[in-house]
Amino acid sequence: MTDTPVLEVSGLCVDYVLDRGDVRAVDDVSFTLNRGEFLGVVGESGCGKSTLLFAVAQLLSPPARVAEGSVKFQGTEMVGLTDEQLSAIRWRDMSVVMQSAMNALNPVKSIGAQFKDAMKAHGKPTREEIAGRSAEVLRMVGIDPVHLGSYPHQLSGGMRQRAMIAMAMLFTPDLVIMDEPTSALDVVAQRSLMVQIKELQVNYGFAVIFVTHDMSLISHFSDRLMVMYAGQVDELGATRAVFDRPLHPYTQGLLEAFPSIRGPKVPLKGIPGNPPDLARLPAGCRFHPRCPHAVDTCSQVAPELAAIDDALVRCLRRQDGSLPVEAGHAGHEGSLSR
Amino acid sequence: MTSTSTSTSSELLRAEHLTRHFKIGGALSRRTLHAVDDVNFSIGEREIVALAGESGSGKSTIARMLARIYAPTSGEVYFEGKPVSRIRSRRDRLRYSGLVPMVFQDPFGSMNPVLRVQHGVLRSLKLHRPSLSAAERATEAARVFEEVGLGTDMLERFPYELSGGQRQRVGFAQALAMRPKLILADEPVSMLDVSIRIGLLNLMAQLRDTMGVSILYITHDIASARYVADRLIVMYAGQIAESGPIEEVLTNPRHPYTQLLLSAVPDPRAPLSAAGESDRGEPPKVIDPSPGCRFRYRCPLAIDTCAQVTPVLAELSALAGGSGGVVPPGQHRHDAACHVAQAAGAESVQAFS
Repeated sequence: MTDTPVLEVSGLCVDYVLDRGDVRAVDDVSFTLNRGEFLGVVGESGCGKSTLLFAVAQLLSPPARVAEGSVKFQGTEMVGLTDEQLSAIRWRDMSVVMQSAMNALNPVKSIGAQFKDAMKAHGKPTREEIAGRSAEVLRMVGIDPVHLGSYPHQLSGGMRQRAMIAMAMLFTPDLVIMDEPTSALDVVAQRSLMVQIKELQVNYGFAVIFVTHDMSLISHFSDRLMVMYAGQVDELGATRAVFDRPLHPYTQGLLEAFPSIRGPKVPLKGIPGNPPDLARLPAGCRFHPRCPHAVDTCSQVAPELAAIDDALVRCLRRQDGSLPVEAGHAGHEGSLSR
Repeated sequence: MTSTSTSTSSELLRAEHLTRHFKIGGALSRRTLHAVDDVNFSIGEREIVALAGESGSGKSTIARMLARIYAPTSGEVYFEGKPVSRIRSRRDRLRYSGLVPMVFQDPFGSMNPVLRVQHGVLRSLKLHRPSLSAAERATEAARVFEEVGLGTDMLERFPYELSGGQRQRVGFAQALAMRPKLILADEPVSMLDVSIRIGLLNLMAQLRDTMGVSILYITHDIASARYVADRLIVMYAGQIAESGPIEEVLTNPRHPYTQLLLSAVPDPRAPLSAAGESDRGEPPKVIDPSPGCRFRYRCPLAIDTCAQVTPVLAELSALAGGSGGVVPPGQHRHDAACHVAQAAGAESVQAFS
């Protein structure tokens, strides 16, 4: 164990190179991830959260490319590595769990055969080692090892996602990247998988980046929360603090867009309008056309990400103090601190 | 967001012993999938009824039977008191599908990409309200677009120019054009972004409150159901596990499955509950089922009877605070299909909390 963070992302920009001009899907994103830390990344479709994940895992393919910035994984610069250099790192030290296990698993190979492939790609394990480790990781996610002989279609949706997570655990990686692994599941299965992921993470000490559009899902599981809007980080802070005291109006809006199954029933408004087209971004703050607190300056000056207390926020009015921290979520305070 | 369930509404649609089986496997296979088994419920006027349950529980099959896409294997749907299976003539078929239209889940797949969005509205007006002239149809299309919160300038747009939320509004506009009494909405917001969903839910409530339309809201999201619906029907493995006024069911869930479902809903405002963590959440496949409760394999309260007798949906107790008069059947009752809950009567038994 060293003090080097597992992941250091700084000034990362990802462009989609299109005929009509480049579109910047991820704009100047920086964060560090410490050992064993669970980072949640939330945002709406098209906010760049999945593109960010792909950039971190160096899985981008044209027309997407890293335009600027760096991704340091355990001190090693990942941007610009060749495929051979990357394949030594991928899966051994860093693994990825994708959204749809049905598409990510090979339908014509048994689970065991796919585990074997992954292990053989990183060394020369003996047959016993493969069988032993495969059974072990399946047991870790609560699946009977008898399913090593099963094909993906023979497993339920929840079991397929568990098998994907088992596969990601084959080499006890230091970082597991997850792209909405629970979104295709029912609420009960979703919950049970989240508890499982958290348990594994606590037991084996790997760091997690977890991308989701459902903020409430990770409220009890992530250490820090990063809220993305239109390719930028709008807010980054401790998960509990973000939920209890959201600073960016967009974060507030997202939180207030969730009806609750408990407590008083209050009319909700959601966030008016739609996320912007990345090729035609509004001037100034990218959120200002939808922001209930926007003033004239918001449409002229693009805010920087700046620290307020322990969190980072991209909002002019928070930064100059004209929007008091208490404002905006007064109606929420009571139910949150319950 | 006041609930209208307190004002007694008369019955619009009633399903009796509704059942749909599918033959599966090859031509020689005798295996039968019981998608919906002996389901009874009713929908009142000016009422939003939420139909909730995990995937494969039979929610969409019910909607398709109500829309006459599938014919029931057995059982009957009564609309305004008349059996739907008796509908024969083209005129009656069109009339029924106009009164009970459907709004689909995928706003990207349910619209023809090469036609302007007004096409669907004008087409259904032409089919379902043939007495209107072309000019009247255009006026009517503009009216329903306004009704769902879309500007009339949207009429001329193509689907690709609209966001997901706007497309779903077009779906509702198309349904409204036919002057419906009951809209079958199959997961209408589940493909939309979180910030957009609330707007659609508010629209559904507004259609109920201002136009008196009833909605069958099919969803797996209990929190959104609570937000708009008056009554909740919880499905499990093709059968109704529990039904009743939504606040009553959510504050006092009686069926162990409803309790499990509620305990699993992520709620950032509440502490993490420990219940149901050992539950793997595997939905059952209901192929050639034997008698007995279908939830018994996952139920911590299961008793011997549960493995032998299929529980029927029955009233647990009349609602507290009622006028003491006769409770109209199917409207304000709290029912559960659970031997243990029924034996406990008014007492609530907790399996998951």
